[in-house]
Amino acid sequence: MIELLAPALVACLLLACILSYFGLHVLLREVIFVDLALAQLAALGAAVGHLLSAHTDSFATYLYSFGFTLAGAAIFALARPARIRLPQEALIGIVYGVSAALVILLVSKSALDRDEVESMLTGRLLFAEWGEIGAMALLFGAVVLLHVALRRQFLEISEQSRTHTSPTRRQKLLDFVFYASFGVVVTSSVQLSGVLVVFGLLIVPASCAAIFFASISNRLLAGWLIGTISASAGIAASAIWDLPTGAAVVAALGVAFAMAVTASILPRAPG
Amino acid sequence: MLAIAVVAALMPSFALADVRVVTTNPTLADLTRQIGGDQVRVESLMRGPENPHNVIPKPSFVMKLRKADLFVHLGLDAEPWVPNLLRSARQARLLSGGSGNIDTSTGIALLEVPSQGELTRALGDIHVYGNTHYVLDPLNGIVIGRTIARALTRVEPEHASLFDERARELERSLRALTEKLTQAMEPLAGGRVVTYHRTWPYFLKRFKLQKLDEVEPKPGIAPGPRHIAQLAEEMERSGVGLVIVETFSNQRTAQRVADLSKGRTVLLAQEVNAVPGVETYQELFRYNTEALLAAHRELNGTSTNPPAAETTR
Repeated sequence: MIELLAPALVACLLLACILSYFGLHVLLREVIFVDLALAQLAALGAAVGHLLSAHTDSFATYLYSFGFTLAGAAIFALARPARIRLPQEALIGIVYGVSAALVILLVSKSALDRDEVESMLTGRLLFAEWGEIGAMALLFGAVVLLHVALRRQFLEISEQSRTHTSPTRRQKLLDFVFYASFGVVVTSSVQLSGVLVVFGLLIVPASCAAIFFASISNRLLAGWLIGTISASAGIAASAIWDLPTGAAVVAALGVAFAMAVTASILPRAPG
Repeated sequence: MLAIAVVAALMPSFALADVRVVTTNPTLADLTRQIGGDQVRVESLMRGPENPHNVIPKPSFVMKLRKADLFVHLGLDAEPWVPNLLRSARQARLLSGGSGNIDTSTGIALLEVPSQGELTRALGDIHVYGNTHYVLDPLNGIVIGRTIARALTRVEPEHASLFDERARELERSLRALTEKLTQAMEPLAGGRVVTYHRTWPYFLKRFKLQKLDEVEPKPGIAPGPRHIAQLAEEMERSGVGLVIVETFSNQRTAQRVADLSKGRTVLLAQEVNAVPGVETYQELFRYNTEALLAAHRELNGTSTNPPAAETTR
């Protein structure tokens, strides 16, 4: 059993580390559902790729996914609040909803293999293989290097992203690089673990950390701790009670969040 | 004294139940039980009512497979969730082509085999080898029984005659049942029905029914409003009232078609355990034919006093 779930555990720990970090930015920018929009765009790209290539060529499909994700990054980088007088969340919701609907339309008319398109969003954590985990680790390593090199700049634009000042060209470029790197992480992790797990690992550890800590470095450490512990607990629960692995991880994250909220309220209750 | 008697009674079955078989679905599990008897311990991965295409794998699936001597599955491309599972189980004998990998489609005459050049994705969730729902012809159960008997014999050669005898017994039982049910189905013979999914060609052919159309415009694809309206019109025009649905079909959509065409839906068991009370392969056909006959009588307004019903029992 341990050997069976070991790849899933390692994959989840890897995802927890990188997604908790991105979660901090996502919370700062108040773009909570941006990962869902980017993942759905990637799925749309895969559907279009399937349609045009008419074969299950995984590399061509990946390129289409990646192209659509980059287009999404461009949309989110250019259409900042100052530019169009709309909350960023409205834009994210529209991108998500429309791309989900387009996938349904494409599937209904062309009869793509639904399983293939859907599996992009549901994941298959139980069947994670060491080879793909290694490839993902390399890819994430590259993204981490980029973010270490540009950490000040990224933090700065994330903190300023809600102000209604007109962004400079440099900021727009940084924004694009940020969303593009985030899109790469989301696209590859969604294929492995599914939308729910990615969303959970992105938002829950960062949110728990934000309840207790103000500084970014403390939040990052707390996020990593909460993310890795919850993911491990979820996988243990999946092993003990024979539950679908991805859903068990998300439920464990929910428990962690409930505990964090309770802990933050309790001491103040008497006073 | 009593305790000893109980233990003694249980002993043989414990000692003998040494072939561990995992099947993908409860239908194959029941057939394996009928052939293997006390000599096998059978577990099914699917429960029964779910769609064989969308099974969510759980850790226990892999654990069961790791301990299995034989893995019995439908073969073809019926169960797309199986290859990943087998890879995770890491048992060479269970992999495709291995000695413990039992593909029950061996020797089955498949229906709806696409001809060359017909294979494009525009046809929907089609199966490249042919229709995969071959267990729904009771006479195919005989072929499956023989395949399972051969596989069990390879693992337990000392019980070869036992497995062979049970395969013959299954054959006798299924031939008698098919004859009886085909007679019972006479009132519907030659009649046409609508099916939700393309699950039923083997069943319809065996019981001399014909398919007017399917609720799904292409296999696995939900119908749009125009298709539903056209289908209902077509049904009314041709006087077809029965819509066969599976437990995993969208019951609401099927009901809508039935309402529009003044027909009715009839839920059939596409799998052993798909509906309560259907626990064996034979019960599946008894249940399905009775459900069809009852729906047919009701549709023709003779439900209160069915004169034909006496002869069908």
